Amino acid sequence: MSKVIFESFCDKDTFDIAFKIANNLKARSTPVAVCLDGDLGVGKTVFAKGFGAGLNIKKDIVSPTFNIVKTYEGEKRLHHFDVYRISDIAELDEIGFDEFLFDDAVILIEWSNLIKEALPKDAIKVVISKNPEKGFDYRQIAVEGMDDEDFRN
Amino acid sequence: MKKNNIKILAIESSCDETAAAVVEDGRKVLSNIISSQIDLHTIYGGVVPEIASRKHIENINFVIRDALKEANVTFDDIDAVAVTYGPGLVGALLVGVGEAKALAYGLKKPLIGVHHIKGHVFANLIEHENLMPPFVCLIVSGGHTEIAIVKDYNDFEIVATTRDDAAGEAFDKVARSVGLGYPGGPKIDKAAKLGNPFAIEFPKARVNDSKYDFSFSGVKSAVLNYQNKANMTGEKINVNDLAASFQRAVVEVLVEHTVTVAKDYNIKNVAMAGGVASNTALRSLMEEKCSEEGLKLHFPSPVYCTDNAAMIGVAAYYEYLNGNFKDLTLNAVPNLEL
Repeated sequence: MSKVIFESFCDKDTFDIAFKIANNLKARSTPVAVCLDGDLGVGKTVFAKGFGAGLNIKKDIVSPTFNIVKTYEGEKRLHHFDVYRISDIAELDEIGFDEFLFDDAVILIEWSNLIKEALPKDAIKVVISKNPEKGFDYRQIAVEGMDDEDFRN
Repeated sequence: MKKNNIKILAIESSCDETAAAVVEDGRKVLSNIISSQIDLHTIYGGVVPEIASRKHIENINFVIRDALKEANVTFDDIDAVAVTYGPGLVGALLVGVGEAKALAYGLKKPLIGVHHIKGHVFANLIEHENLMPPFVCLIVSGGHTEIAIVKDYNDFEIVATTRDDAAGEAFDKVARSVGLGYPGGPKIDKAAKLGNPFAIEFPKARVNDSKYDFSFSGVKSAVLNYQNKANMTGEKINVNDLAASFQRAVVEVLVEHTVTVAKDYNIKNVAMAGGVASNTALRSLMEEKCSEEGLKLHFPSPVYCTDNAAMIGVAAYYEYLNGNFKDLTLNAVPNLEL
């Protein structure tokens, strides 16, 4: 599996990395699912904001936790999910999760590890993690399903 | 069309609560029935959508029956059917919207769609006879953090919103991470009473390009980082101090921004709405600052702060007066804007 590792030393880095990833994905013609995982407070909100900006979405990307999903229009439509509050895969049917997956859009799914069985096989996986040895604000952003080629331009 | 003795049957099912109410002329609550689901959610530590919509279906006919009974009216006495059609959880909203459409069609009564937040703001009119627009309203709940200027009954301007998490969401996430449980707001409020609000200095989030907007993701992360650091060094955390300090950081910003809006727009009446408006620290600081600035503060009783249908019946009355009715194509809009 192809993989790209980014390193972030501040919120702005995380924002810029997310921007680059989204900017790259918006040219794809097929629906794209991007999983976004990492502990509370690791910077998923900042990542989502950069990701939205990369799709040229003008509105603020805000937390979808309460509504489970929020939709934005940009150069490409974004369905931003937070499945933090989903406790059973069956609950996804209720909100029509499958229909979102087939929409011509980019789908960003926070806490995707809670709904592993429901994710498309070709989903891109982004994992943000800390490494205390490299400093308090250091974050590793690992992107599985894209490769260096995608970022060479 | 008659303008007096207008009785509206209102339905609300946007999140946890299945609720129905009968409201007369926009201020008089004849009944207000809420079928609380909080016990189920406590088990799961949050709102569980599937359970929420299944429970709404089971509850809705009973809450409507009880609302009519308590108001001492029948379907024939009702002048219109109103329902929350957004924002909220789609599955939950659909139950109320479907029910309201069926009733409006079957009873041949007008159908009114109400914005959930407008309902929260108008909850203030129920107990404050003299409160009239213009007023400033801070709306704080699990899904919302907004400051609205109510210029007239059907003229709202949202002047502040959150750039990331809602205030109530930050309460929920912090409460969960320090092991206080759900619902986070009341749990933190309670723990904070036993703690020192000045024990820990958490950052008060400012948004660079806006005087009024909020951001709570930063303070949430600061609390989690504080916890992580303490865990790494083996330092013991005083949960009460942490709750009190976190709460102070959130509440101070909410109050400051609300008072600033009132002063900038030269509006003398301030109101609060939404579940977090019941928070005791928020209420007391808001009272203190409003009285310092010569502003008059209003807030609803706790029963009208949480999700309820009476507030929907109040907001619907003004749509009724404007002849703003929906047809049977009305749909639930999870991201409905004001």
